[in-house]
Amino acid sequence: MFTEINSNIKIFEDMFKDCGDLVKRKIPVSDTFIYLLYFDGMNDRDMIESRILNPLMIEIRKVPPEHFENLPEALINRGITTADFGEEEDFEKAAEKVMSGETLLLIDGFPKALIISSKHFPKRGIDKPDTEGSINGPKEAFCENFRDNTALIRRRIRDPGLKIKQTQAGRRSKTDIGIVYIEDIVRPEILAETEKRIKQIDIDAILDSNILAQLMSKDVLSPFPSFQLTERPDKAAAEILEGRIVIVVDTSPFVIILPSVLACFYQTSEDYYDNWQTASLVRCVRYIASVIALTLPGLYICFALYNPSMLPSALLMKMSAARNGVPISGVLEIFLMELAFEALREAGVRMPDAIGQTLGIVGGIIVGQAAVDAGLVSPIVVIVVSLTGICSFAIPQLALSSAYRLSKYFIMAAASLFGLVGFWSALVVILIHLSSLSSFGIPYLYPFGGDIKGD
Amino acid sequence: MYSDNGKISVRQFQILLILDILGVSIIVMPKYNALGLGNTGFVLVLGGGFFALVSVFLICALSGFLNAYGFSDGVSRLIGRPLSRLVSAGLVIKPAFSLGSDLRIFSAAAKLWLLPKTPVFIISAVTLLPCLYGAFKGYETRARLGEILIFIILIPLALVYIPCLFKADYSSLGENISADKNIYIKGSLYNCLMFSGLEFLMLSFPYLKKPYSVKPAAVWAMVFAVIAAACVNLGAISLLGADLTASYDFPGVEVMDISVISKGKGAVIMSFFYLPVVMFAIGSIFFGGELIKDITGLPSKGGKCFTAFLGFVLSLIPENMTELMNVNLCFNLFFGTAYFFVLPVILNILLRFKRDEYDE
Amino acid sequence: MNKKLAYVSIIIVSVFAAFLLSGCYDNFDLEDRSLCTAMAVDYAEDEGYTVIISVPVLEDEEEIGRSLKEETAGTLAEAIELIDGKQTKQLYFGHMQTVITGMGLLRCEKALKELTAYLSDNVQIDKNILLVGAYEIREIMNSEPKEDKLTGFFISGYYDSGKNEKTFVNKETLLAYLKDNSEDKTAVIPVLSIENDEPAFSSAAVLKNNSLAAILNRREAQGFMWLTGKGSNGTLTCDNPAITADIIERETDCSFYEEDGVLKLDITINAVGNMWNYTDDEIAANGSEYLEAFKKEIYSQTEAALLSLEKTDCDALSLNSLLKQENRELYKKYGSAAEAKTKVTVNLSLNFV
Repeated sequence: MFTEINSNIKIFEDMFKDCGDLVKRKIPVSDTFIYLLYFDGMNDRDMIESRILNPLMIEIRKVPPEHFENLPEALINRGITTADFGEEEDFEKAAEKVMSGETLLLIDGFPKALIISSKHFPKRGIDKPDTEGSINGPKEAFCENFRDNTALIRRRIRDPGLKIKQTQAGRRSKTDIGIVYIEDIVRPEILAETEKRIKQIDIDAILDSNILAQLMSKDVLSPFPSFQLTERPDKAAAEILEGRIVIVVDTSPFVIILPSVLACFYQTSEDYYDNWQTASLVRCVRYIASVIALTLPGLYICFALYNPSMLPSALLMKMSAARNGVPISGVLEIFLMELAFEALREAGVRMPDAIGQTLGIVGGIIVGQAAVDAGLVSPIVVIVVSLTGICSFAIPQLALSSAYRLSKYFIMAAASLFGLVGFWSALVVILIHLSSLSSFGIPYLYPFGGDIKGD
Repeated sequence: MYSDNGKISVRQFQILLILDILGVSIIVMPKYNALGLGNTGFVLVLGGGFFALVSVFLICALSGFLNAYGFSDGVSRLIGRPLSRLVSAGLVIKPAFSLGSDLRIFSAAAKLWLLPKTPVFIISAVTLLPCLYGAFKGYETRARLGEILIFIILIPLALVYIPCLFKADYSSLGENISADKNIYIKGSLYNCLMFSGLEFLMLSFPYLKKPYSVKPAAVWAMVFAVIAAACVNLGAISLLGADLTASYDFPGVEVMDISVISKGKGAVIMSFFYLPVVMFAIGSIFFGGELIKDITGLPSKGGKCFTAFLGFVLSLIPENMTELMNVNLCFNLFFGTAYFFVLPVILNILLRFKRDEYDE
Repeated sequence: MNKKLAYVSIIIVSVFAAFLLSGCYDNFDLEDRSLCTAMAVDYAEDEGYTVIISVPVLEDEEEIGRSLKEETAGTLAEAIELIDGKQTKQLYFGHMQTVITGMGLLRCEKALKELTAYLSDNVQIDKNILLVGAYEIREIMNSEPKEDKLTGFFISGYYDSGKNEKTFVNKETLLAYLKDNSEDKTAVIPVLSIENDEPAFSSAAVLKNNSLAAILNRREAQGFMWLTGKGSNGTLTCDNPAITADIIERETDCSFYEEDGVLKLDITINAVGNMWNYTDDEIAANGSEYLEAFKKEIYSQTEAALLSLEKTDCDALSLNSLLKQENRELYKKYGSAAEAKTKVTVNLSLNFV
């Protein structure tokens, strides 16, 4: 930077040309000029006025002139009444700081910019978790504010070993990213790999942790998530205590947990609060539910269309009677019903809560019953589809449940072509795929399949 | 990273060995054992197990050496490059043939029970495609897959066969016990040669993390697999009777059709045999591809596609099951003996002579 | 899209298209399957095979009845194909419960062989289905049992779930029949006739090597069951129809020995009965008398059975295989001629609890 303030001002004004929300002011102080620059709405205006402008413009007059031998230094030492400030020589870096909510102060004759911490963004308060509700345990959720989120974690782990390595990603968004871990528990190679992957990211903007998770993922073609996202600070803290790494992304209420293997996706924070018997039972139920969510429609196709001998005679006759008069084939029937269910689910998510519930009732009960009464679909297919849907909701992580939903269609297609042979082929393809995945070197199916006990 | 190195643990090695041996052959073996020794046919499996154990001992003695140099390189150091290429080529053909045979047995059984109107070649192709995908994913993936599948395979099979063992009639078990000794030896050898997973033993040493603890692991796996195979044979022959067992092509599945739990559900239990076929096929294709790469320098993906295609074509050639089993017997007698016994003996002797050079 | 990816996707798409176009050979909707619950087969020299198949008629999730389809043709497979061809739905045997064989078929070795070969080769057919005989197959198929209108289900339920604890019945599944046949043993299948509009056990057919060796009436069949230990337990009656007892346990032991150059077989029957419908006082007063009456009845039943079996020219008691199993030394001596040279003695031990 230049010593002459006007040259510096020109450069900054060129840089921030046409930024309507920029606040800039050149103020005469004592025998010199200062220049203040910040973006409106991102700063604590009260703090700027009381801690910077007030001392520089008013309080400093009370200081006898003999104290101003080196004017800029005197202004810094006596005029700025906050501890959290730094100096910056580079224009680009200084501008970056301004854009992230700091206040820039230039002093004539001083070849550096002062960066004063005055961030104050419009933000949402700490709310209840929307997607990971629980009966027991804390009700706090992460919010969009980076610092609040790191504070929520540190409040739970008061250990000097808890480190928060801060970095940025996104060429234009310059999003703050915090890598949170406990120094003496984390595996250093996983930490190094995480930092490497974040460094390798080359994209304009990271608007949410989901984007970061996808960019960090090695297996982009896989529908199965290799990262866990959570909005619960207690869960994040528990995972950190287990030696995992949590990545906090500014502007996202979800933090990333890694490495995450398949078994991790079946854990919820409530498992830690229930007694072990209940927690184990519930976890088993989740596993069974996910198997049903993945395979039930495929098995229905196999048994109903290829090998009815598997079904008890009485059930088969009921099913056969129910199919009488249904105008579409069995395969088409179950595919259409599944698609209808997907549409219903999608519509429910987008609707406000109250309408969403009505939609569920109308779609699920009234239309379903009407379709059965009209003979458009058979009741057993309605049962199969809804049971599959219910089981997919029992999987705690949405990303995993979506992967199962996608895989379910693959299995259904294979089963409709080749019965049980197709069913197993598709299932084996999925299992091979899962076996080939790993999350930061940990086999995805660990501890069921795969070994990590050293080379 | 710890697990991105494509190496497998001893436990995974054991599981793979069990799955390879408990392949699809157990659904046809009771027929031939019943033909050979009537109601006492299951003894032949135990005899086969004994031969297989001898082979395991011979092959495991090479584990350290092959782990250090890899199969092709190691063999060429012992017997010279041209001969080693020949041996490797044989080891591409042997698993490809076993793949073809297993594929055909499975496809024929699947056609009978599951897809009576679908042509056999389509069933074979549908079976083979996931295996090719699995082979592309590498050996460690196969090992991880094995760890999952062993439960999916063994639990239903145990649930079906153990009640069979209680229900069966053992009153005529001792019959034909004094039959010709040659039948015992031939029958046992044939059973041993049907354990086609043994050929993977030699090839899998380079993928082991700890090659030196492999012998006890392999022996335990063999013992387990042989006992399981003997139980299947015993169950089938005792429940159906020797004559009826010999009259069916797939007595192993027929037994399941009448077991207490799966009563009438043979078709579904039959589908569980898909999984051992897949495991074996992935192994064949993977090693085929790797060996072709070693012999010709071609990329291993091409070699894998070639092995899979070879297995697919071979599976379509036999007219019927009898012809398949006859060809299988001749082929196994030659290649099986060569790779299970002769080659390991030669390699062991040569390794003894050159011990100073390659001190383990 | 780069060139390599384009090629790969073309290959994948064409392979999938090929599979899609070639698949679905075996895809049948449930309503296109005609579920066969029972099959009756008879044979006559001049007519060939008569096959009657019972198919439930299903509407509105309630079974409202069943329809019988009958065809006659030169071979069994042809007759079934004719039935299959005359309806839009495809016959499905996966849930067949019972096969009823007519006496004409049982008497013809070739026809019986063809039937068992067909049943054993068709993988749709469960090997646990029941084989029963009937004097008149149409009558059995037309009967409408009160409990279950579907005859096949009624018969299999009657034999399987112990509803018939009053009658001694011998049940033979397809597998047991195939196994007995392959091991040169005798198979005995129940022969049904109609009583009170329901199919009921009336006599038994002794089958050996795929041919009918004898027909035993109800008493003889009961005697046969005492001798072989086969069949289910039931209520025992004697000369005085007012006296009855339920047999709850029954076991038969065989031992072969040689005496004066004659091969002898001792069949020891141990049975435990229950006279629960009598008071303690009645039993104390007349117990031993009743016991004697029952013993006499069992002896006479077994005697009748032995007499009837003697008339057949086959090893109806499977003495050859029994001897092979029990006494190897004697088997070596007498070989497979045991049936002709054995003298059977029956010992009975009957107790009541």
